[in-house]
Amino acid sequence: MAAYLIRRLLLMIPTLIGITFLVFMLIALSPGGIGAAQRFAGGSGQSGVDARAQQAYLEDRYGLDDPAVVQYVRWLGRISPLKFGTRDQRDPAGTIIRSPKPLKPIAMLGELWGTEDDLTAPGEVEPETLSDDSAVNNATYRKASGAYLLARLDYIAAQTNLRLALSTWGTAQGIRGVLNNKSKLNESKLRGLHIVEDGPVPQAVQDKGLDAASTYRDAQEAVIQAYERAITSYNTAQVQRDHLANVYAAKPYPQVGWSIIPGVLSLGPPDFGTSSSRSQPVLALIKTALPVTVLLNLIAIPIIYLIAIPSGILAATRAGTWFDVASGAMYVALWSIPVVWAGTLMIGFVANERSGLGWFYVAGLNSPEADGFAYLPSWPNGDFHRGFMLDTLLHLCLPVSCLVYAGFAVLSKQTRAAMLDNFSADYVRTAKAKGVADRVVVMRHVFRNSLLPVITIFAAVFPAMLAGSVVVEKIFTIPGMGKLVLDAINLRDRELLLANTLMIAGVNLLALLLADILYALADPRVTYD
Amino acid sequence: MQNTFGLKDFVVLVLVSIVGVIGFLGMKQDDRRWEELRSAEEDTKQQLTTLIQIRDEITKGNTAHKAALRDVVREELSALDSRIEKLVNSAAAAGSVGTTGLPGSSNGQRRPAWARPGFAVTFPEPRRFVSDPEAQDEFQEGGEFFELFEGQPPKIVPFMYADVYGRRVLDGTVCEALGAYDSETLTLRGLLGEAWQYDPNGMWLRVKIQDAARFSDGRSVTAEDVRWTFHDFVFNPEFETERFRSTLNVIDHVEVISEKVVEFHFKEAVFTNLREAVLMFILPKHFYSQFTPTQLNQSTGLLMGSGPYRLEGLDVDSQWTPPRDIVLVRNENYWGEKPPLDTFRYRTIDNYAALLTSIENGEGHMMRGTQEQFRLKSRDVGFTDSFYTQQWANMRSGFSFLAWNCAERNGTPTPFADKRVRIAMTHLIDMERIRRDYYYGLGEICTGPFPVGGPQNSPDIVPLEYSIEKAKALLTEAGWIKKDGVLKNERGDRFSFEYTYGTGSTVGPKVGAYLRDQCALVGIECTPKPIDWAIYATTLNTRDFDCITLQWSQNNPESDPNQLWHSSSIENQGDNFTQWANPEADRLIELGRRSLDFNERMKVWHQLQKVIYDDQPYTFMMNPPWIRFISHDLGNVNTYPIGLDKHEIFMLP
Repeated sequence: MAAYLIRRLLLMIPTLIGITFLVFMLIALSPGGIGAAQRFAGGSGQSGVDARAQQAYLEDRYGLDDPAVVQYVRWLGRISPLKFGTRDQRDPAGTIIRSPKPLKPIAMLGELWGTEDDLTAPGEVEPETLSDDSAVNNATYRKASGAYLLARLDYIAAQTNLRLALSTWGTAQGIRGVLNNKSKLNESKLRGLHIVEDGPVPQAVQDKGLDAASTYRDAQEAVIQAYERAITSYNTAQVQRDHLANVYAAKPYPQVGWSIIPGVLSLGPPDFGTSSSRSQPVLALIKTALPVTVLLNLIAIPIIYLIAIPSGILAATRAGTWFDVASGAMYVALWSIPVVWAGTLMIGFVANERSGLGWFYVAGLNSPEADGFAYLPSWPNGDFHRGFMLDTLLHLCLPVSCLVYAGFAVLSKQTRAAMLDNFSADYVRTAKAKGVADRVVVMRHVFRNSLLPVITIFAAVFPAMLAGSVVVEKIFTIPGMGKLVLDAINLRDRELLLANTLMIAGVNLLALLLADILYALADPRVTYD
Repeated sequence: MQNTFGLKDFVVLVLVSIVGVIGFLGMKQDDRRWEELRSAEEDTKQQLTTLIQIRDEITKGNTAHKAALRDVVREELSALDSRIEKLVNSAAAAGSVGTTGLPGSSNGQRRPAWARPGFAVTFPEPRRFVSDPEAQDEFQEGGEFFELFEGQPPKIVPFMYADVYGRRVLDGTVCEALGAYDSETLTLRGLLGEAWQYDPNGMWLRVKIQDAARFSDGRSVTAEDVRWTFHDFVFNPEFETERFRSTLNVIDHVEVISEKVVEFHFKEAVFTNLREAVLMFILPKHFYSQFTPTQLNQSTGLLMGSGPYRLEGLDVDSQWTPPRDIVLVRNENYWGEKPPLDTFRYRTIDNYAALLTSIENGEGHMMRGTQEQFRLKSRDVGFTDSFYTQQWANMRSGFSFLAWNCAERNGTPTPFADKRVRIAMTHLIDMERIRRDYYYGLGEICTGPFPVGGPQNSPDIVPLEYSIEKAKALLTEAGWIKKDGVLKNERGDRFSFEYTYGTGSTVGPKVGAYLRDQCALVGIECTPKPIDWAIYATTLNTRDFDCITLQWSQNNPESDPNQLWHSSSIENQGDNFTQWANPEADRLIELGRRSLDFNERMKVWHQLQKVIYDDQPYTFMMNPPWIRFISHDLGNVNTYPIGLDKHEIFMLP
């Protein structure tokens, strides 16, 4: 059994990598990007926003300008507890500080214009001498990192400017599509060209007339200026980066994790990153949403089991009677009602005080004044106060009903079918022949042996419990996992989506493993040795 | 292995989960109470600090006391002086129009000490209540205004919030700027700014800050706060404030002249300079500068300003986080006139049916309704007995449109490159019907990119008439002849195009179906194509569409047409995505932007609107109105061109 468990656990690692890789690639290759959906949310665009500059900042901040595979490997490195290279540091505010990002080369420098020798090469890292006072070190690091960030952003702006200048220059000589649909430079379109300052205008452009030639010259001049600006800003940024690298190498903050082979391999906490749509650590977001979903399901699932299993047993013992037919028909009918429709009807008829019954609340988990309530219902001065627990339960009634009603059918039908199978087994006949009471036959023999399918269903239900129900959470404004995942998809929030995927996939795999173990516990015929 | 799992165990399992739920709820409530306690403690601490400050001031040593007294007297005298000066000036300038062309402001003839010599000083009228609550019957102070939002703001930190809800929470309530728009006339009025001098050439602006202005913790608002907000907060690349940089980048730098005088320097003379500088929120440097960039970027509820309200229980360690209600309480230290309501509470319910039920059940005083809900509820007597159903166009309404690709799509010109075809398309659409059937009769049909009824909009332009005959004639003139039931040009190409709209849009598909039917009448093939909002930007940037629908929203009464209509915005994936280039429009845009005289500029915009109208790069559809359901429990609810002035509202007894 132990060997089996270890094998299964180890197999989970490649499976998880496979799942996250697929999801990562799906997001990376889908059109649109971070910020794009936010800009046009709901079909109303905000004019007056320079979306491109915002996009460039965001891409640099989240490293989206690298090839997708590189980004994936970087993400994997961050979430892995095994870390390669030097250990990260942690500042007093708890932020993980990594070694400064290197600068990207200037697009097609040397090929179109200038030479790569124009660029300052990165210097050797020589740790600076720091003081004993951590506050001083903090200030030194902050100053160096601020200066590098400014210089780096200036360089990014220069790069964007260069791309645009190259695009205009390409258009001036009839080359289309220099920028692709993600505003990236399509280098192959410009390959083989070279800019000569004050050089001749290409024949094809000259043939189009004087205006075209003049446009071409202006565009070429703009490209040269853009290259010069990019080189200057690159060199400035490189100096700042070297300085920051030296400060970082002196370890102004304590290091994170435990070293295994110094400078090469270490153990550290996984870092799930920061959500791009909410600018908050992903783990903090999950930590808020998960308990809500778990609470909902902790109430819903026992209700499903408490109603579906006994009625499945009854339906099996009274197969063919009116109860069997009626309960089966009712469960299937409930199963066929779409949750969106049922939820909206409940809000309109059960929750609305004016046109309906007004029994329950429509949204959220608590009333605004619930913080001041006592925990249990009470009657101070003879007036009824519902208390925190009852208030929460009243809020939960409608969402839980929505989660529950469709779940009866599958479980009760499964129980009924398994029970009927066992009823016709030899051991039941033997038990009955021995004169064992009917109740005992049903509960002790048949039901116990019909548990296997119920366990299978539990393995499927358990991960769904953590994933949350998108529809129910949306209708009743419940801030659970379903809503979090939906927002992450809509806003292309990669970090949040990946962390959720990893968690749900991990729990799924664990649930499957748990089901297999439960099989072995419930059925002595099943062994894994 | 024994088979041991039986009914008994199952019941035990269920009981355990019930105990688990009860335990969890208990812990949850305890946590929430703990937070409540902390926020109460924080409030007490704040009040204590203020009290200590007052006590310190009172019990300062004799000499210091005299000096302080002298200072106070001097300050009072100078305030009195400036008030007299203002009165004299406003009397002198009564009836005259300001150099800035802003109605509602007056020019100084006498120059205060802080002013630059040789330039006129404008003393804007202070912000006012258009309908004074105290003058109303049944006026009373106190009470809570409970507003329901249809979307969850992830954060309410100034310059970092990302949506309209963030702005609704803090604009004018917690955060204030040097000036504010008048609710009714939409002219700039003074708020934190007492007076200003605006360079006649539009290159600088010097502002004198109100002496009395204080942040909610009692500290004075200074010129350094203004400089810090601009340079070290909004334009600090370490902060995630990009969204605001693109509009504020008309400002080159901010200079501190003295404690209460600040000067803005602009990059070029554009008409938006004054409003961008004057409407920028001023943040307390002493509060925000204590945080690291990561702390601020990840914060959700670090909100402090100088406004009449403050965030309840502002606590750095336990900040407001979604989905908790946002509660603003009255700032008892407020330096100006205090509004009547005690608190504002905001809660999110992101489902319109639930919103409506909630407000009907008495959980909420105001919500935004859909057009369909408005149609139903405005006729529901039971509902209108308890709620005002308001719909009105205002400066934030924006406009919806169909945009025609006026140049090439993937290297091939679209049929809409010909202006006659674009005009024919507008003739094909019965805008009254669209208004009646798809917008439920709400909103105004617009003829240009400026709000109907606003000064920028030309009243002389009427919508193009709905006429299939005219459309047919124009199409024939453009060389599209009907053959085999389909329009074809001389090369034999069929006239077919895609109509792109966003998935999830309610009006988009309806307009698409209507457009397809109308096009079929004249022999055009129209294929509606839904796309995800996330790829809208890419589609627009690559101009990969024939016809696309969208709605632009606005934040100011006067919009800058440069970004949408100038031909320079075609290149490099700019926002002129229809690729419409018109030299006359370019000339007018450049002229209008440089013109600092309001009336002159309006004339230019009217001409520009005519040029756009004649070319029809967009078929302008509607200015959809704001729709609000507001409880009758509230008094003095008025709709204005600015939207609503929540500070006027009070709770009826």
